[in-house]
Amino acid sequence: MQNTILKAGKALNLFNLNRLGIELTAAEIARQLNEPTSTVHDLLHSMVSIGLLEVTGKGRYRLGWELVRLSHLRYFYTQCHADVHASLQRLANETALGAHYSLLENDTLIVLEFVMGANCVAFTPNSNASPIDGPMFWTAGGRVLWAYQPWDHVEQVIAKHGLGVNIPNLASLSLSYREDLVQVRQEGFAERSNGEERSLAVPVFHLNQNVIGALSLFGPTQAFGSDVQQYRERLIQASQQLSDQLRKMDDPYATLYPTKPA
Amino acid sequence: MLGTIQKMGKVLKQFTLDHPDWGVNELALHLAMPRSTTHDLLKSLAEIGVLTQNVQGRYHVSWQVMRFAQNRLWSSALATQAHQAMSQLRQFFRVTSYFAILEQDQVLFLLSNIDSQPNLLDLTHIVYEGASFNSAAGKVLWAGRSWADIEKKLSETETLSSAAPSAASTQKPSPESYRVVLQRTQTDGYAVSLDEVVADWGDIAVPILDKQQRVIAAIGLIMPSQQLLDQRQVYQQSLVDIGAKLSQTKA
Repeated sequence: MQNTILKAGKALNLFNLNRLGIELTAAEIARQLNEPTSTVHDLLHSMVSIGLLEVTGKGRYRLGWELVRLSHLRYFYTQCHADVHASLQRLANETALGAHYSLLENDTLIVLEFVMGANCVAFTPNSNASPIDGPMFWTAGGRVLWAYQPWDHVEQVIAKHGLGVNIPNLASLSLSYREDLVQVRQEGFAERSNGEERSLAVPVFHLNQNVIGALSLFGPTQAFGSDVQQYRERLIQASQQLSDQLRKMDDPYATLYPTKPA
Repeated sequence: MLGTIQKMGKVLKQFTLDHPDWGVNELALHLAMPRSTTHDLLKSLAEIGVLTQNVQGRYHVSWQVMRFAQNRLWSSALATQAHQAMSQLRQFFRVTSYFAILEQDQVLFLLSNIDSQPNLLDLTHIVYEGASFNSAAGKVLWAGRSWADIEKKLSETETLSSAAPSAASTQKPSPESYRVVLQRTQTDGYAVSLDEVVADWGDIAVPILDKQQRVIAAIGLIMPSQQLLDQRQVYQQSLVDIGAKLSQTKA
């Protein structure tokens, strides 16, 4: 039983490995799991029947809505949800960019919510350039979150996962990454631009100045225009407001489910 | 293999708004499943990152599931376009808007924009999941299903929307009356629900269709019943236009 569920878990993870919105065939999944296609076909078929996967019109598989239901169950009733949602909505409305809130769990960067502004409706990140799973060391949000982690822990995670970029001299890269994190922490701000896309991120603080999340603005570079500073200031202001609200909660990530009527 | 995944699906379905976390013994009893099997299932689901255990040892949905959900939503042009349309609707009408799908006999309300006005209802607290036959979204979505499916679901359903704070929410429509409602929804191209889910509140919804004209989602507005009655034509026309536009988007 455990083996089957672990295979299902591995199959799910394949959809998050490379890029957003990936669709895979049974043969592609079988190759990556090193399993016979017939076995994988049965596995995928049963995963479709419980809503974890969907079959697209082209006979390919993609992630299913059951995962969205489960995630909403977790997120919508989190204490911080209303404040995070309102903050993202305001940012997206005012800047017309995309806004998202992320956190680190088990050394993985999790985006809790994103809101697309008017200039980002059809925008999706260039996932060939940006890894979308794991520690996500090089994203603006990732750098902000890792900047406030102890360096020895960051080093351990780098040793386990790699920095996620194809540069041969990892030792010097690791050193420069440390310098980068020091700078991010000093400035309380991270920026990433690869020409086509830009993202800015700032930390969100809880009690004792603990960083519990990162607030980011992202979108096509041209949507930012020439005055990036204004977005930086707006982001810092939004983060201060959100931090003040979250500090009023003992545990912003605790869930509060509504009481059923008597 | 199929049996294990079916059991896994059965376990995951128990994590709901009414019951967001489970202990091993409690779930084993609830599903009439051996404790050891239940334990293995929950433990394996935690190993693959779908569930996690809290300090009391109870299992609940993990943050890791967000990664999959964001991937699913972000990769869907329809979901992102619908999100934008909902923002515009909310800003223009100052009411809560929603996007809903029918997933395995449950109406799932997604991306609901909760207005900051304190007197407005938080949609996700009312009709987060369940068959939701009586909501406008439910009518629109069920109207896209075969009558055999609907009859089956109606016969299986004992009460409706247990999270809703209203006696009206527990009333199940009779098959005969519901068939008439769905036929009318198909003819009109939209549905309205007044005081049928929560007293004094209503919603209005239109279908989003795929290329084969199948209903794949619904978009709608929720507001006090009187407001909906007063401005019904305006809301209806706006939603019909938006529904038609979203129907041209790739799902």
